[in-house]
Amino acid sequence: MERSISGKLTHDHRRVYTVAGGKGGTGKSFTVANLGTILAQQGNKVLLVDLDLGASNLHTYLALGKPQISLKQYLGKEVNDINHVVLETTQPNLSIISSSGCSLEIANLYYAQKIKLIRAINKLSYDYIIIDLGSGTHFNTLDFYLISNRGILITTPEPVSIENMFRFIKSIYLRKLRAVFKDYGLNIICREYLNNAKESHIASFSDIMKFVRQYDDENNTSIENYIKDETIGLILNQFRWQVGNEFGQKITKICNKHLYFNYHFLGTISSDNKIADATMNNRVFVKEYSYAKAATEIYNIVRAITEESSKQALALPLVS
Amino acid sequence: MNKFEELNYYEILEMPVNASSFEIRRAYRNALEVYSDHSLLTYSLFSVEERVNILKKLEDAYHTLIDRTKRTAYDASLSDKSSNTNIQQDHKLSLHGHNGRHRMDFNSDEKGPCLTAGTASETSVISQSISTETRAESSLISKNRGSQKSLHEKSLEIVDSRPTISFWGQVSSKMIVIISLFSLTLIALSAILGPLDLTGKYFLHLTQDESHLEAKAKQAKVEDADFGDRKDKVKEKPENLDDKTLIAPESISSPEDLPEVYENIATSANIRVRPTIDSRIITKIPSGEEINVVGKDGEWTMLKLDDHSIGWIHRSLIRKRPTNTDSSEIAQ
Repeated sequence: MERSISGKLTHDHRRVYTVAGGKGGTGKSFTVANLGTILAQQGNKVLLVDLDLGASNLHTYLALGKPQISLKQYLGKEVNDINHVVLETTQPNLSIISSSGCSLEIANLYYAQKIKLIRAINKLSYDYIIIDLGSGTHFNTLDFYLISNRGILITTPEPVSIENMFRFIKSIYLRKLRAVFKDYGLNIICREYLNNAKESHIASFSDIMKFVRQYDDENNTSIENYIKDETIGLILNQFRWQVGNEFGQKITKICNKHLYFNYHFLGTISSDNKIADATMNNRVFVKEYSYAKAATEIYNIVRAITEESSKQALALPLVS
Repeated sequence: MNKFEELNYYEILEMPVNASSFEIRRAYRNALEVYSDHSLLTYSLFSVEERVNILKKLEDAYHTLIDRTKRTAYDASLSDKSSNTNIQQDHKLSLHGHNGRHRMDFNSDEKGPCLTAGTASETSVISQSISTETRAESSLISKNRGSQKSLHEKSLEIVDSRPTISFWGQVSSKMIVIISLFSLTLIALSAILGPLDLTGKYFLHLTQDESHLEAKAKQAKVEDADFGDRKDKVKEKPENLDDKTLIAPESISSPEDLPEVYENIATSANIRVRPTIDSRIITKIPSGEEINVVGKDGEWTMLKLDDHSIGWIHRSLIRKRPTNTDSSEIAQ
């Protein structure tokens, strides 16, 4: 039994991963589709949730065609139970909740809709739930990311991608601080402080904790633990040897030294023309080209995820 | 993992506490690459001010650790902090003992910005590593002593052979006396009975044997004296080394002892097991690679490799690099 930050008990041992990246086109949906396929092949009951509401395409990577039912029906109150919008795929054990057909209005969810969706996802019962998020640092994306304290960030070895990933991490940090302060009734006090924190120079964790301690000395340890509990796995996609074999490990070290949370490197996925071939031919890459180097690398990433998750399976809901 | 502001100099440069000067230079160079303005790894991560502060901290770390005196003082300060933190934690435990709580106090004012609750364990690891290093050093010294002892024993063996020589000399001299008496008798007999050449041959054989042993003994004396001289040279005047003098790698270990920094000028230079062209190649090093020179023998230079093993490179393949360790130059 785990105690969430809100003080409510959860008995949730599902493994919920939220996959983001900051920049678009880094391969989030591709990775989610292939990770899910491999996990399902290994006998796990897997659900993929497409929460890239504005640019949904996860179903295409799974070669499903245009889904007839999606989150649109659930959010539009046509369907009351989220289980009714779960679609089975051609791969046994692998299900998907698509957001195909969601309009831009739905992409900018109202607060009540967002809470409803997060609560519904938290009630789903699967071995693995992998949530595919959109690009950018919109507060809805950040809140969806914080559904789980186990995130996966996908980046490519390019300056724009790296830049957006760092920005995404900083945004997550600030969002999480806001959430935790709200939980502790410190929201009004801290809002001004955080609003004044420039993005280029976000106050260090020590400074924040010093500030918090002035108002709430009793709870600072649990706040601190809550912030530090966030674990992020990094995947380096579209890897090319020119950047050096150790690039992924090096950037993980940088994150660990400078960016608030705990990071571990899950692996690289090499740039491979067969990936484009599989997408063009409407095939699932790891099934079609299981012999390819990139497929082997995705298998290795799955192994890293399962080994890591077997150590500690946590899925704490942010909003209860 | 701890965040940057909480890391000590060894953690910042990502190297062990027993790192050599060569490793420190390399770690510093790597760190400069990571935090340089054009590095992809930290692209857009820091503001200009933050980057300047980080580079300054790297420079401080480098200059502290590369200087033996400063490094010793820094290591001592780490140990002090460790013990202080332990005391403070004990104090807090006693304060909060009734509540059954052990509060981890981050950035307490008394400790300063560098100290965290994690520092105790880190520094204990460091002090453990230091003790390991001390153990390693002592084992190295004992190993060194062992090697010296073995050389000494070797010379003693040669010296020990001298009593053996004198013993055989005594035996042979006694035999000579006996045999010469016997031969005189024989000569006398031969004069009487006829020519017999046995005594001459036997006598000649014995003298050759003895002269050979004497030559050996002389050689042993010379070698012994030579060994003594070499020992004195190594002990007393390490700066007056000639090409034939061989230095133990441990004799030079800090930048103070060897101010020059060498680098490889060949495209790809072979590092060999022994100072001969036909000996086995251990590894190859690329052009411009910094070399940790620990000694030389004729045309060959002895160097310490990354794994602390010893290799040899031909003198023509390396050159001295200026000792100025300006950060910008290293970055270039």
